[in-house]
Amino acid sequence: MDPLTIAIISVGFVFFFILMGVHIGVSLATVSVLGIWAITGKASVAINILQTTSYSAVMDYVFAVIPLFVLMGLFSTLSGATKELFDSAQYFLGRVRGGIGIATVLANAVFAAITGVSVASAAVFSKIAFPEMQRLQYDRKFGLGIIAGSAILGMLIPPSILMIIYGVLTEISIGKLFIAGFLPGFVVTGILSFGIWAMIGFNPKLGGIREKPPKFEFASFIKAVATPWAVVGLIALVMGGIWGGLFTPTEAGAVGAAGGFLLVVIKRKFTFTGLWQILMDGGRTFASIFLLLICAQMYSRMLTISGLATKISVWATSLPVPPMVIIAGFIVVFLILGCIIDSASIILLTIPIMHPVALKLGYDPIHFAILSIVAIEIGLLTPPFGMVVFAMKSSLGDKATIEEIFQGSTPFMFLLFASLMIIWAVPILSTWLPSLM
Amino acid sequence: MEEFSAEESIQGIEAGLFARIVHGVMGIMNAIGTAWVGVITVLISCDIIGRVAFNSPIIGVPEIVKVSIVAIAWMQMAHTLKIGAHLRSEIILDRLPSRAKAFVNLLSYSMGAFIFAMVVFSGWPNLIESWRVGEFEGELPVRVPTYPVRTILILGAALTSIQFLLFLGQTIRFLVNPVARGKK
Repeated sequence: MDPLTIAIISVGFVFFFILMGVHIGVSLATVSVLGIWAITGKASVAINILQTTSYSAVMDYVFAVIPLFVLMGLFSTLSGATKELFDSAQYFLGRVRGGIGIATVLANAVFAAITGVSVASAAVFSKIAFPEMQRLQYDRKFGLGIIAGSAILGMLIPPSILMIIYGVLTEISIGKLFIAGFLPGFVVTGILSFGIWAMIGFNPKLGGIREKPPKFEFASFIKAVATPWAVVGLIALVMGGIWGGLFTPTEAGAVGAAGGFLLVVIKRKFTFTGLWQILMDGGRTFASIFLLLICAQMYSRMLTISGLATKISVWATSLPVPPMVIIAGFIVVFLILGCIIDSASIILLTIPIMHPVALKLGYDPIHFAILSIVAIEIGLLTPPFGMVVFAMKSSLGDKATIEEIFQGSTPFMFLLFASLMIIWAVPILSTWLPSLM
Repeated sequence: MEEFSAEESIQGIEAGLFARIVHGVMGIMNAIGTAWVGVITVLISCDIIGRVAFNSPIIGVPEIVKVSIVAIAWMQMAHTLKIGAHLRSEIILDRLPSRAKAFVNLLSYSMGAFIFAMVVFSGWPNLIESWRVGEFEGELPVRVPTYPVRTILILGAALTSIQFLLFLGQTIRFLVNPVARGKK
């Protein structure tokens, strides 16, 4: 058999195993090893790839970014920053139509600048925002949809695990990707907020009762302004440091993690149980992503050895259709894959093939990166494998069903889709800020 | 109604002495892994402070960080499997009857045990060699020894393979005698 056929069969097997429920890393590694064995005919070469990738695939200074930003997120959450952000946002927006919904979106946007994982946002805000929405008699599904929809911001507003993985795979500067996420993040924040306001306008029942605004008191005003200062300051330091070239992304992650720890101490939330919880929780995210990174490198080596990646990009660019159609095809692939696997795996499986195609079609690499990330994130909301939805379910327990959350998030999926179109049509949103760096 | 998921139910089952010891080691390695991230945080922060305030960065921090990342990843690999946090798609798995699910798990865990055993097997010669020559990363004056990292890698991969075998054993026990498991 020629290498190309073997590679195509291998890709088929990868998807088969993943669908069957074999661990994604294990599927990638096993198929890659067997594929390389079949292509080269040498078992020793195939076995050797395990040895080299398991050691050197993640041996890079830049990979430290992932655990450091995860640690920053864990510490900041422990410090109670999320609740503070939400309370302040609610104080100011309480008198607006759909105020608490918009407050959830805004608090999510700010929290997104601390955490790199959408799933974390969804879990935290289910606990903080949902009870408050129920108190104000929000339509249940509507409220759940707001939380699910706004959790997408976690991956779009830096720091974002997806951007880190994307940067590592394509050798685009992670710092630039981070900065590029800001404006599209604001677009999504704006559209979601406007959507909530408009939907309640059409159907006031969704928004429940509006609270009489409390009398203006100087003390509570100051409190609402001043409480979240520490978190906001930390974000400004970390992101400003990257933008101004003061820190590399890895250094910014370390500053963020150290700052997060200080927040915990300042807010007097330090407990040994909390610390132990963080020690145990950390591995959950790092190790699962690192296994994926290691195995994805085996897979991409297999694709390179077989020549499949080059063939596909030559084929795709020679198609007699405008580039837009091909990019639209990619977006459809992202959305479909989003129904099956998680977002990090989607990037690892598709970007090594799609990135060169997008470059050849003349797309700006950063613009395509942001576009892909938004599209992949929408997949987190689509049934049957919406990770955000499952995170909310496990956080809410019996208070909501999976079906309710999926139904509730449908209108928000359309809003996000509209945002995706805007980000696609207006490349400058993604490319302007990084071009200033 | 019996929901079978080996990854979730392992804690619920009376684990053998061997499994308890192995899980203990995994838990400790997992905690050390995160603590190590904490150490890196402090190191890099001191490096930045040294650079900005005193114009004298700490030498060798990038090399230490680079090598540490491999160690941290493998420190936490096995425990992450044990708590069921390694990513897998459950879209079909969740809809299968419990016996069919067990058969899929049989395949899944065998593949896992095999591939991680191969990581141990393929990395072993390099491990021995790195101890013999005192392998290091970086140029003088910064030399970070890498044989401890290779050791952690092999240990982590071996533990992950063992954890897959434990899951496998459980799955087989379930297939052979589904009732006994329910009684426990």
